[in-house]
Amino acid sequence: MGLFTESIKKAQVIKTVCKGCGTCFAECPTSAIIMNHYGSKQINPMVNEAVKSLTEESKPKIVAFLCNWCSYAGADLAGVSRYQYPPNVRVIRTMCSGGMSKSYILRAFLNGADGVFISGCHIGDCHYISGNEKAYLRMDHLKTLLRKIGIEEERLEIHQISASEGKKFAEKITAFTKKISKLGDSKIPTKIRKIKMKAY
Amino acid sequence: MEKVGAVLVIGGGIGGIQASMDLANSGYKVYIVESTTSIGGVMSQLDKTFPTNDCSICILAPKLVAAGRHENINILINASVERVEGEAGNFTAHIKQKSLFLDQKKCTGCGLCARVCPVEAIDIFNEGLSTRSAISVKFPQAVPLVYSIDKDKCIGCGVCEGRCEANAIDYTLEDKIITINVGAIILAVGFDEFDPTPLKSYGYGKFFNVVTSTQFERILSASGPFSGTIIRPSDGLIPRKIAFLQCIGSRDRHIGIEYCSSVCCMYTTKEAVIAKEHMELVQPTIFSMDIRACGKDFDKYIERAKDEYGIRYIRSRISFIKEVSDTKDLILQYETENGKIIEESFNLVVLSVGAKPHHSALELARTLNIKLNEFGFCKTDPFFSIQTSRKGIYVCGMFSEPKDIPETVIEASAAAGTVNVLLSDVRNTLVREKELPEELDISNEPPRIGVFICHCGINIGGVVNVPEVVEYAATLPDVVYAERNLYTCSADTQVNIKEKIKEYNINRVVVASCTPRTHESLFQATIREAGLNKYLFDLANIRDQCSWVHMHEPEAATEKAEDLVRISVAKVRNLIPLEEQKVKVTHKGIIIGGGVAGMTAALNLAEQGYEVYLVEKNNRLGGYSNNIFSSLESDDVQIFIKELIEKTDNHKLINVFLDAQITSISGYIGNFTTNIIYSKEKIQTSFNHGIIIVATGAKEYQPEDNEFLFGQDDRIIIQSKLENILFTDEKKLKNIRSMVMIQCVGSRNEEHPYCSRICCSEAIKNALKTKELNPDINIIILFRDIRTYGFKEKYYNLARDKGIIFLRFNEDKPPEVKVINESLNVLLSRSDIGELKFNTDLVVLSTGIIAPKENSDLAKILKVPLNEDNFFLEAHVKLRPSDFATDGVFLCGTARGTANIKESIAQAISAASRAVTILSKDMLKTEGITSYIDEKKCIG
Repeated sequence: MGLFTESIKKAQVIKTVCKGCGTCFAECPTSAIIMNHYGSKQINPMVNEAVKSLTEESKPKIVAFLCNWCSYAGADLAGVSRYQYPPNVRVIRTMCSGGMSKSYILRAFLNGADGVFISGCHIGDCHYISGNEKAYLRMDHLKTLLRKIGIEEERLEIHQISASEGKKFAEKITAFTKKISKLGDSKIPTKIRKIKMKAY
Repeated sequence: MEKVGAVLVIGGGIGGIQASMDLANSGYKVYIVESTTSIGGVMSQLDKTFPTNDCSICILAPKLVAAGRHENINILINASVERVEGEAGNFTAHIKQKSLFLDQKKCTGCGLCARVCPVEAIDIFNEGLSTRSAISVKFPQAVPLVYSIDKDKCIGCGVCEGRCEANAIDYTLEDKIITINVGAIILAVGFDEFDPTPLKSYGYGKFFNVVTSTQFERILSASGPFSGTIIRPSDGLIPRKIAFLQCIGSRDRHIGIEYCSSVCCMYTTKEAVIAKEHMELVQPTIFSMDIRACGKDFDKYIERAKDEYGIRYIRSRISFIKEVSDTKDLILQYETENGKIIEESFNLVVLSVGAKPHHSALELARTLNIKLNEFGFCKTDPFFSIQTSRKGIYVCGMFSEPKDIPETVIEASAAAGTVNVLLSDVRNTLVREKELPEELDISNEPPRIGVFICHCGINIGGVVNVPEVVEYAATLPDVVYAERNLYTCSADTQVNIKEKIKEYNINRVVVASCTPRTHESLFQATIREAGLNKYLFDLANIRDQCSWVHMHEPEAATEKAEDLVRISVAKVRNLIPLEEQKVKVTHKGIIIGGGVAGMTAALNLAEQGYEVYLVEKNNRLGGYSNNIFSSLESDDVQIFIKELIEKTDNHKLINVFLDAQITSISGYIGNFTTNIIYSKEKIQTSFNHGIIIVATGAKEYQPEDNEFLFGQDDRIIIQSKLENILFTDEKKLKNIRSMVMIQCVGSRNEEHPYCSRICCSEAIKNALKTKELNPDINIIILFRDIRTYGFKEKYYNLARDKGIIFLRFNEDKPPEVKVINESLNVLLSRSDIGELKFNTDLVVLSTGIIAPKENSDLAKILKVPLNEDNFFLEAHVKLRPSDFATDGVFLCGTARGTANIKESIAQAISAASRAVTILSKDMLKTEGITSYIDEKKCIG
């Protein structure tokens, strides 16, 4: 790599300190950071399958991204407490909402998801200190982008659900499913599906 | 005398397992002596656990497997202790291991022998409700998974020996004596359930449809005799009306059992809720004297049982049962709230049986030369519930007093923590590292995926069509093998997974079962043992997030399960082996809070040679206990606290910081850095440490203005004020002729919807003390439920014997305090007795315990959660009561929830013991899931 590396300082990951939240990966503007096992290489195919999976009968198609520490545990608690909710949602677990790249969500919509549900810890509770704050900011930007390409921004919801809020998880998912059912199918796939958004 | 770095744990229930795991992970060799043929104890028999309705075997099985596969734990089944010599630090124990008539090393647990055995014997695990063969395994998830022959039932036909392909069966094997050398002994033998047969009036053993609560637990269990369908024994029909009778063999002085068994109110509610969940048409009714829901979040569970499940609670102790001869239904007679006596018919009656001392208690006491208490349980120290009457021998769980699972787990870790201190100089002398096979290099191989799908009894299989999911999984790209298991987490399945990995050259594994949060590490360890990098694994959550939340939509749930499996397969196809890093551990700890719990934890760590920073926000140590003078059992708390403070102050490894505040904490397990400001001069300092223990305590609820006229009249005081007067200024009570105590002030209401656990005992303690000083005084205690759990019941009885009057009030009609013409009155209104007015000299409000508001600040700094009531939330309410979900951070004392001093001390030593599992290591392995930089793309 010669000259190039000598003239520009490169970022470094201190592996013993890295806790694997994935926030740096999701934020890097040049996609120079790769996240082991929760990066694009794994999550992209998961998103593809999650959207492909839903049959006509199980409309609307909803993909949820939940952080490992709070919201995924909240979803588990919904199960432990037997709170029932519609079976339309397909959950993808990430270590932190900070590691939820915009590309995952766009990919879900472009592949035909009718709604995307994002949930992380409450502000201040993040297992990685502030990954969720970065995620929530990122999602604000994403909503603007969605609007521009003609996807109703209501199709993306961002929540803060803790490990003790099983009931809240079930309620939010139920309400979201109802809302998306009312909105109907996302029209986007037919229009822009062909666009390859490589930058993301 | 030379100390020995090994420990003998007697009893392999959840207590014994927890103590063993803590010790084995802290550098000691452990021997578990288990009297039956598998570890797991009573918890393995439970269907669900309260208050979360967690599937019992699901949370237990990973622990069983982990203990069973631990390099430094040696499990001796079918064994008992014959003789013990020596003293603390160096005991010699002679263990008798009864013959299994089968070679444990050869048996694969395949179960062929049991299928061919012609003998039908009664199955004790299923409480006699089903039969099994004379050669059998205790339960499907047994650890170790070996069969054994019941010599009394075996007819010696030889069929099993002929069919056993492993040649494991050997009828000639004899009992053997094993002699081991250990430094300490932990007693975790558990309890026996009360046998209601002698209580003729309940007709147990005579009436078909009267069963015990443990039998009913097995009826409810998916792996039970009726596969989870609720049917009654007489005719196999579904019992619509089920009555639960509380306090059978508890709180009954007529039969000589005075104490409360502590767990029955909760397990009965759980059984009623689960019954309702299994079958909507079931109508459970619970007959009880008090409802004792005094644990963390227990009251909320009772409220949910009433409101959401429609469980009926009736306050009445049923004294006899009549059977209707043709229908075999049962007639109960009871008194209603209005005082009317009525008769009601039920289809099934469940006797909620209490706990008795373990049948081996007397024998064990003699063998080990330890004392038992007046109730026949193990006698313990007034402040250290794990200390028996003999040094070097410790106790945990039900053997010392009836208690629930989290308290047992806490005591188990506390017993281990006490052993840590005794044997710290011989740590790591007898242990060895686990030897793992070389990791296979799979970098050039295409993915070959194995999929294992769990039925989880009927938890998944009852909703999701598992065979269909297996068939579907086999069609997915790169999947070379798919199978289903009754319990994928059980020990036999781990062996099976390893075999299948070899047989099919599997290089990536998907398990579809419960949640990765509890089970991922178990399966990762399994595939690592098979030579695969542990990161080549994913878990599809088809239970917590599928079958349990779509219980009434089996088709949609099956489709979702298939999708989740396919999503996981898509993930593992793209996984690569990852490397773990090693991190050095700073052998120091910080303890936040200098009350009883904080000081106890600090001393425990310091006595093992670890430096401790003890951070207290006030200007003195002791915390709330500075206000407590005596325990219910009349032990002098002040002397104890003074000694504790002195020891803490004088220990050279404990650095005490008073008037201190934490400003920031950074770092991670093994390597934290904390900044604090301390002293009046606001000095800043920082230190490095490997672990954190939170012991910040709680505070007393202060009644609001006008609540029972508090603050308006100085004849209305709170319980701690009365205690202060009783012990420092008793003359003040000279002119008091009568006293009314009101319970549950600031507890069990909308603002604080939990029981404060200690107020009943505090009220009785102070009432008895008052009576002792002035026997003529009239004392009335107005209560909702008296919650003197365990042996505390003795003092409730004593109070009534001394003439203290107890009167119940209803939640919706609390008593009123009124001052009429200078005279102080308490008004009580109840539908059965009408309006009562007590003229009194003193009103004492039993105020509850609340979590300080500052908890939320600390929670934010530590990145740990709080529960709805602002108490810190542990990693798992049943099995990880002393841990936070964040590695390296632990919890004890009233910061976790209300507890008395003895309980706080046990929690403190437990937290310290958990911390030592980290501090005792020089290096920790870190996770392999990190990010890395693609230097070509990085633009700096």
